[in-house]
Amino acid sequence: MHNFTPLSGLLGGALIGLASALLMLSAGRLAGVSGILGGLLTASRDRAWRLAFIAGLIAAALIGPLFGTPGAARLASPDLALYAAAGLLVGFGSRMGNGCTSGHGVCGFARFSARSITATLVFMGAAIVTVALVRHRF
Amino acid sequence: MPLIFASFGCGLIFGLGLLISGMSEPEKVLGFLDLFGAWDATLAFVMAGAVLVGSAGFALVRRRHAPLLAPAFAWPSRRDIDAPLLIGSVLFGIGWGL
Repeated sequence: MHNFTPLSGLLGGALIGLASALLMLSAGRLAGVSGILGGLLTASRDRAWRLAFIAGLIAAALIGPLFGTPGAARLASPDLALYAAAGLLVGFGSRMGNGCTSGHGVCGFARFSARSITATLVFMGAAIVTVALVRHRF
Repeated sequence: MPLIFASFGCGLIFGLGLLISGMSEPEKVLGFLDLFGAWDATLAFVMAGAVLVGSAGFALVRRRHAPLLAPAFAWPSRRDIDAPLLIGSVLFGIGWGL
């Protein structure tokens, strides 16, 4: 298997799970990043905690590399139009489906929500098919 | 104010988890989605870690009447699987794969 890093994957995942549980414990909110961001952009009353959470995410990207974590994203492809199209699909899709990889995939799964598990399996399937078509057929 | 600090802290931990797990790198994520290519199962381990810790954490948190710094829990109430959920997930997945 290529590039397989199960231990750091497990550890990173555990931190994501921990952050989700702590956010529910402290703020009573699900750590679904698309929902948190979406709530910020639609004029929502409870913006402060959303801004703080996003600020924390950004802060992690800034300080993480100081402690040896990989840096934040390197572009996988130079095609900016592709990024725009993908971004539109991801944004629109996550609003329509009420969640994303963290909302449905982590928090929904952790709550054993049939709705979230279904959504996760569907978007994973769609993503796998997309990659298969793009990488191996064209 | 404590809520702001707590939310920031959670975002920080979440972000560090993303970085440490490698999920902030598109190539790493694509490695999992590329089932028919050079497959990298790491993302499955990330999800396993997240769901294991998250589910244990949620189970503990559920015993409380209310969150520490907010008036009430905002657990999602919807249980139905409808067209927008499915269509939205398909669209999201395509964009994610691209």
